[in-house]
Amino acid sequence: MPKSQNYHKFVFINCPFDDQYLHFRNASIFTILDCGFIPKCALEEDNSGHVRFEKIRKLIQDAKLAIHDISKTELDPDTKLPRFNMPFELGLFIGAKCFGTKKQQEKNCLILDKEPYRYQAFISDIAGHDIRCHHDQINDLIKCIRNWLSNLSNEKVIPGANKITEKFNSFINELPDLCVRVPIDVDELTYNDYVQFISRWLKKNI
Amino acid sequence: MLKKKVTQTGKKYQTTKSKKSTAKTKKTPEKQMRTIQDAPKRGIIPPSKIQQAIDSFYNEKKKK
Repeated sequence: MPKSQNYHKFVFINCPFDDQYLHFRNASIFTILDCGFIPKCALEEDNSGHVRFEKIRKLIQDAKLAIHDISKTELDPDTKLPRFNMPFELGLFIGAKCFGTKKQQEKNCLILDKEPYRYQAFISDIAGHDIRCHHDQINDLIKCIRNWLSNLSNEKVIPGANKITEKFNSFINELPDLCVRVPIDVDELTYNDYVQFISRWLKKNI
Repeated sequence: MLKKKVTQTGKKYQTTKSKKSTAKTKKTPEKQMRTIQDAPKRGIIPPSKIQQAIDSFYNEKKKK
């Protein structure tokens, strides 16, 4: 049984970690926090002593909710092979929901892709799950996450997707000025620093 | 409950029952605002430093 008291608030983020996806990942973190939830990601643990699988297993066990973005299926330009981590972690999450304890069976996830029904060509076994499309657009990504979390939230006042997008853009514009005062460069921020910045910025701009 | 009315000179002249308010008190529904949660982990920057940076940025913005 997960010991975490925040089980119902934790949202596990299963997405690419490359720079091309960074803006999308940041928008996801921002939306999760602005909706009153807590993002959880494998990047928050930099303890290399932990076996990677154990780290992910623990994160999935401790989070009732998860966002799985399977939009990046392109072959790696160097290896010419696809990355299987995202579908693997999605499978692990669905497995926990199917075979886990009563608490684990309460799990709920949002699966994101860039085009409707595209998943049928490469992971058709997930048909029947809630699969939404962000069309590689930040606004659509925020809207998908916001609407999904809004249905799961006990809080009545959650801002609309347009408002969250507007705030996210303000945050991104202000971040370089905020970093100057630390001082640190924006591209030096770790995942945890970024989450700290967003959480504190949102409290100021609620 | 009995209340004694007192004239300006201080003389008591009458006792009356205080009226009970019959109007129902309307409760305004409270807006359930979401709570922005704390970041679960700290990074390489002390969280207090991040807070200072945000506070000083907004204080300067206010002054402008």
